[in-house]
Amino acid sequence: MGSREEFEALVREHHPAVLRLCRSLLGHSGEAEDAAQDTFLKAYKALDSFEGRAKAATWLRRIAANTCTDVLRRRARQKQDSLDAIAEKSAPAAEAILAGNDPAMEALERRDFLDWAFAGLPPEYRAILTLRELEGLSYEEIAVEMNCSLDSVKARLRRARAGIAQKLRHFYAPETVTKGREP
Amino acid sequence: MNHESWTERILLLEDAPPDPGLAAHLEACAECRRTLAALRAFGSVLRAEPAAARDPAFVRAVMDRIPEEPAPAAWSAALADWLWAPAYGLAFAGLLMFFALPQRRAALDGDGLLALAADSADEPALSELFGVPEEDL
Repeated sequence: MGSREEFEALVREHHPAVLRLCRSLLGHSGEAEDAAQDTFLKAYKALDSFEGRAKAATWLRRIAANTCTDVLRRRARQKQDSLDAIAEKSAPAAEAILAGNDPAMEALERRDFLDWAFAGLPPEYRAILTLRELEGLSYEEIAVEMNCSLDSVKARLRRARAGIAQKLRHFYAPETVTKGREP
Repeated sequence: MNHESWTERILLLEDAPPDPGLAAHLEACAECRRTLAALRAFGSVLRAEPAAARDPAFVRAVMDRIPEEPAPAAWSAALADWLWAPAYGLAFAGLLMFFALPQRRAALDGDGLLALAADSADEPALSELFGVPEEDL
């Protein structure tokens, strides 16, 4: 690989998946589009280091996850003060969102809800949980993509879920949860 | 097994094989059912991200940010060689002088100079060469 035409073919083939991951991590915003573009630019600059051992999709997903994690870190620093406002706005909507009563959920609502749910957790946890839930990656695949150990993936997934469960479980009154079935 | 241990198993339940022990516990424990319900609902929200459509404008935007054609490597190498050629020449000349001058100096010193004098002593006089008296020269 190396020519401009070949790279354009790669962008054409993989941009929907990269965009979806970026939107899932950053919401439907200009930030997600920028992160997706940056992902391909970084990939172009690093073409020489792409050894072909990994699939192009895996390689691009890794770059996208890292790019988005950097954006989330920046966002967390900048928006620390407004997290409370997001919480106030999102918490009332959470019940409806979690109950699945709002299938046409606005993208902004969904982003705010996820920001609120993930607030206080390191951005890497969000990336790892998203790679697990959205992309369906195995622990091993996540470890490769996030450049960390298998134990670290398990620990972060467990902590991310614990933090989120702590935040969300009070939306479920015990009597409303059907035994052995999803809500 | 205490409640925290069951919670730990719930947190990784979706990634693990079916757990009959946990299933039995969930039947009896409303708190754990709440935790599991919340996690499953949250997973559904995460997975609700719709697939992105192919977008030619996005592809164009990416390609617009990529330099038209990078300088081919062969050209760069040739250019670099050309730029360095004078430097290589100077360095070679310096090396030649470094090695050649001391030998020349040695030839002009000591025995070398005497040898030169001896050589000149053996040479025929100019008057002999031209067949004229010395005083005429």
